[in-house]
Amino acid sequence: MNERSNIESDSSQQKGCNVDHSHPVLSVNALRHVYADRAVLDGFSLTLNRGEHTLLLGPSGSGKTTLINLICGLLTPDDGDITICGEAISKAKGAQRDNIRRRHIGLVPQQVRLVSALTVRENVRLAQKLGGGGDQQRAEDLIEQVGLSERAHAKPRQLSQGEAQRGAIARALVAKPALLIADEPTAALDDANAERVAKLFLDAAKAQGTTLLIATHDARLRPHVTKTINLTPSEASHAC
Amino acid sequence: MLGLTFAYLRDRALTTTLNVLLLGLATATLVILLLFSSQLGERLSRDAAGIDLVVGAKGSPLQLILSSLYQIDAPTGNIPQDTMALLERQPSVDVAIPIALGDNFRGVRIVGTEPRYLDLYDAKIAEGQIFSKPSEVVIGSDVARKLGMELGQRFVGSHGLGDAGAKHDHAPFMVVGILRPTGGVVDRLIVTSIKSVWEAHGIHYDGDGDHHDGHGVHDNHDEDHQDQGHHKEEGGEDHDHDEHNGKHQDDEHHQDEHHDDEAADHDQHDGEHADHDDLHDDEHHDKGHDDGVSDHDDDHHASVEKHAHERDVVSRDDGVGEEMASKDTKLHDEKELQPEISALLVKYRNAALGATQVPRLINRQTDYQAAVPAVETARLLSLLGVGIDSVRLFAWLLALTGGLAIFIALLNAATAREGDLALLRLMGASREDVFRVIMLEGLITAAAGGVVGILTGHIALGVAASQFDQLADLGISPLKMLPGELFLLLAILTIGVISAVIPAIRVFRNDLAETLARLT
Repeated sequence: MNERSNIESDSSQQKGCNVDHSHPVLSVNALRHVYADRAVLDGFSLTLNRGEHTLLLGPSGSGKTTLINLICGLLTPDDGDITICGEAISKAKGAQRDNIRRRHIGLVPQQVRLVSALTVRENVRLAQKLGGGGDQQRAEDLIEQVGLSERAHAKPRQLSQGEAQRGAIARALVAKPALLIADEPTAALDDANAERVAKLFLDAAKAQGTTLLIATHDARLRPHVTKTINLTPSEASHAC
Repeated sequence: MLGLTFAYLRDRALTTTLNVLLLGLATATLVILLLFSSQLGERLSRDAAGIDLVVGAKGSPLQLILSSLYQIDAPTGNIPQDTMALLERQPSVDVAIPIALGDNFRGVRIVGTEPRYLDLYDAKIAEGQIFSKPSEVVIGSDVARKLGMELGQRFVGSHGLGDAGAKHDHAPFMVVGILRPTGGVVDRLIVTSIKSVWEAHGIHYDGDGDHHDGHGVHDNHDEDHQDQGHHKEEGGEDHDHDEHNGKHQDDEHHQDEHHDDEAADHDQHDGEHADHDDLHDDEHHDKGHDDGVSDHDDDHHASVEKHAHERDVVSRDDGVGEEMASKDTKLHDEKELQPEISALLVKYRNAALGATQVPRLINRQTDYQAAVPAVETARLLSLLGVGIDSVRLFAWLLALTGGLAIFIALLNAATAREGDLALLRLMGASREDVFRVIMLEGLITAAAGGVVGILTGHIALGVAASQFDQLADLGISPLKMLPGELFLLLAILTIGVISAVIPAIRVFRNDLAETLARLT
């Protein structure tokens, strides 16, 4: 309870990240990460400011997912720093790391998008609670924004792939994260659907004033963003 | 997280329901056993009402106890009513209360006894008054409630302990009192005077009415003694020692009949003989014959030794055995006139002395038997205990099976929900949060099983009690909650926690990045 109370208290303050322009939303500095004796990332740096929509483009094995996991605090880098809204998630441990993630990051993974036992509405509400609570109306507004008002009572297994992805966007944005990260959101989609999904992410991010980072190998999304970072094995040390 | 836990339980409703039912079944079985054995023990102890000994016709001692104390079996037979006089003369006996069974009204036993019987159970009159004349009855609170009987109501008893027996139309009863609830056997009885029962069975003991009224109806113990003394004088069975010895010789054949099998036991005889001297002395003291006691003892010893040597018969007592022999003879002669009772409930004044002397006196020197309620109750509970323990063991195995089912279900769920739980972590849930989700699932399933089981146990016992008269007769109440049920619930919850802890630890240790990488 104390932890949760602190989170709520911190959250109300940290929502200020979105209006605190003194720190970039994401700052990656000289990142190095070795996996199976291979340096997947070596000296990689990246800065994302508020409202930027960035494409992290690279083929499979280029280190996109590793980078996302490092940014989200799921992995610990071998060297370098990652800060989210000025908080060093790469240095944080355990609950503190969970806390930073909870308050600042909304992630839409490639496969797992919604909690299977909960309806769309319950998923969004749970994410809101875990993110520090908030107005229930905001959850309803987001569900409406992604066009799922009629399907809010449905469970994930009752949704189409597109509906599930829209639900995941609402779920990821409800806690007002400073940074929305999508991992391969258009994989296996045809052009029309890829276009629709890209537009959905961009519109939602714009509406919420959220910084967007899309990690993908799908170059079709390039025209929709303001910044593209090509991540290839040879470019893993690229600094932007 | 509680909402998420319930959502997961709902999401796999069939598995959850089956696990709850499995644990519920085990819990219900354990609750039934707990309620049954606990209330049976309590009921047996309460209904024993401090009775130290029951004297009745020969047969199964357990049956004698069940029929006379607990009113749940048929009597072993009848004994002469004046056996009571023999017992009341024993200094170690405080009270001897006669009961006469054999009739019922709509399945409720009619017990002929004395008002002192009600005192055993601290039964007070709620309405009306105690019976004072033949045909008057008081009824227990359960009887009044279940049969809707009221003061002034007249009814006719049926012969036997079932409702189908012949009706005693010639001797209707009238309700003159309703008892307050006691929680004991008397709540389920119709109580009247012994004479009422005799009259219902066509026994009119008018020829010796004072005597029988004294034993069957009078509620004053002192009066009983006075009547006994009077009766003895009239009947020629006074304890005058000369006459006593004379009778002893006259009834030699009867002594042989009763005590041949013990004749060789001289040492034992001496010991018991000494005991009996004490009894006899006390008896005389009680009766105010302080003078001449030593003379009496001397004469008595001489008399017994004479009998032993001259007739090769060792008499075990100096008066009682002979008196009983004499009475037995008289009973045979007056069988049709002699009123009988089903049993005598005996309380000792001196428990140690009484337990040593009275059962031996009855079992060896009369045609009747003395059964000790504590011994027979312990034997009954021991016999039942074997069965109860077996079922209890089975129920605990069932509970462990339920725990195993929860463990398997949660382990499978933890594997199937890897993605979900990883997503929860991404949404901001801590490792402890996902650990709690799994633990709560186990705990809630076990709690539901425990609660369902406790409710089912009580309901099942209530249904059984309403369907089986034997259970109702035992006074098993399905509404009573026992502290043991709380411990049972805690044990079931522990099983749930233990079942959940391994899957929960597994989830706690899951590497989030690895899980996400595996799922993408």
